[in-house]
Amino acid sequence: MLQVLRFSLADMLHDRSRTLLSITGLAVVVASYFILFASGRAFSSYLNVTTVSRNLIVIQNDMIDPSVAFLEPQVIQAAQDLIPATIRRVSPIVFRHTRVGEHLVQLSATAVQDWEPVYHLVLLKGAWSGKGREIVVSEGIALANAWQVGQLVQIFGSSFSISGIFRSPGTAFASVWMPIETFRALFDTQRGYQGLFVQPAVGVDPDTVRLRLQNDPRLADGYAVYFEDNYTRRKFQTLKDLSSMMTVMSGVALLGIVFGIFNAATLSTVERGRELGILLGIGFSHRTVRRLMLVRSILQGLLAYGVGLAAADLFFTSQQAFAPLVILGLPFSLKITPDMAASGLAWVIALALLGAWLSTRTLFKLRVVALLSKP
Amino acid sequence: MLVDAQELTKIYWRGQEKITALREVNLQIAAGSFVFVVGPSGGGKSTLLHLLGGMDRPSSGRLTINGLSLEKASEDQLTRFRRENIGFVFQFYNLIASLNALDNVTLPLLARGRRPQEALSLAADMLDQVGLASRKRHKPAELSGGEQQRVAIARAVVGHPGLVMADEPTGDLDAANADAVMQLMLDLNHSLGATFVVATHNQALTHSGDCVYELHNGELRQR
Repeated sequence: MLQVLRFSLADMLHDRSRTLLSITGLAVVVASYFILFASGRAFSSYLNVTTVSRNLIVIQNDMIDPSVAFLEPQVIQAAQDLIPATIRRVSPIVFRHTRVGEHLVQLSATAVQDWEPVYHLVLLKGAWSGKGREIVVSEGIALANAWQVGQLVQIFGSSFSISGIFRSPGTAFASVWMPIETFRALFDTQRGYQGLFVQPAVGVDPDTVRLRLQNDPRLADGYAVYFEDNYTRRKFQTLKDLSSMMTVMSGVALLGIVFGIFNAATLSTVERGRELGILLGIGFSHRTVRRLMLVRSILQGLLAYGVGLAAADLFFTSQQAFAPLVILGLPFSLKITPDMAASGLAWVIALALLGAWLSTRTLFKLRVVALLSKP
Repeated sequence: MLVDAQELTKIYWRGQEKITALREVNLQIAAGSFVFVVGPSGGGKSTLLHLLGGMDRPSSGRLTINGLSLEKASEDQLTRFRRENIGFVFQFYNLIASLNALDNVTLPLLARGRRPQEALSLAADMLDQVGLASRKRHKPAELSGGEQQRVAIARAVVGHPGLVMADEPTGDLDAANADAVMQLMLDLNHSLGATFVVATHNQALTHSGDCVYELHNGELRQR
């Protein structure tokens, strides 16, 4: 076996430029596979974040952009009328889109005391805003802009201090939150609230609450009542589409790795038809010659795999360090997981073996003299 | 007899064209002899040697070498036959380009299951016998045509096969190298006792053989 390994290495080193070209080509395929696969997985993992929220959201019907919605006071009243027996708490909310730093973010304004119990915001750093011009920002947008607690940012031309950084498992969009009082004092309040969060009372089935609200004549046909989770999923449709695209791309990458490695293994074996003929002519068995080709093919595949894996990892590391990937304010952590690396390795080995095996099978159908006449 | 061929015929098809490379050839070769097969290019010399070397099968006729009927042998039997009985020297050497001279000569020994260290030692001795002790670490591309052919001869005889086939072994060499290579094969014939069948179109080289056959248009006759 050591001799087979030594001869295979000697063969690869003999034609260095060809070997380098083959390995580079394969490494590109392997690296692409990892990058696309990791991207697809990152999207999926974000979309699979589930909330345990029982909240309901009341919002105008068929409203694609919630920031242009309008909530009539009678709708709020309809919900408040069910407190406390059916509904524990209601929280009207203001939505706006604004550009903060380089990113378009959603600005939410509501009562500070609702942030944790109703919206499930979890404070990671600093403190909840309590005073005048203070805001809290989601961890995604903080990461994207390298913001820290205490830093000043401009929103609608006004300067705000970041009092805290939070994580929001439910409404995972990048968002900046401020107290409703601050919003009213500084900005346009004529448009009123855009939505209403409703927290059902403990022990009450949220679907019962949803149906009661939906059937309330004050909501008429103008408003829809969603489960918060469903609403969040609707808002994630863009990400879902992207995720589907990435899944397709992962499939393409997989096809690339299949054909890339298979072809490389096949070509490098077929190119050695004459050498196979010499070895068979000398008296090596088909099994030994095939083993030589398989070992060579695997060596080439493994080298390409190592280079491709390292290149993909370097790409992820440098991207994380210099330009973190943030989509819709969510930080995307691209990484190669052990199972991803293992599946890539398995593909490479299996395809290298298959390519070399099938091509030697074809060549072995020829007589030795026919192999010797190959160029 | 080491080789016994009866009415050996080989037919090729080149598209619709039928080519009879050998026509009912009868040939007997005694063990330890040095036989020349002469004739023009395309006369069937290479085809005959490929059949004798178990690298191709006859279209009809019988071919028995060292007791084995090659026309009936399976691929595995042919492989074993080549490994245990045959050494082959090609006109264009057919050395493995990625291996040095020493590794090339070890190949038949490794095919026979010799241990690598033992194979290396025997191969080094053989290279010494053919005058290439100082060139054993060189790859084929770093050797002259004459040197490459001597490596090929060393490879052919290192396993002490009963039958060594040489197909135009001097065809790609100048006169001095051709004489040297031919003399080397004669010496090995004497020292190793192996049977040599040498195909050549150079009649001048045939003076020292035990027997000379002429092959024209696939028909063989003894001179």
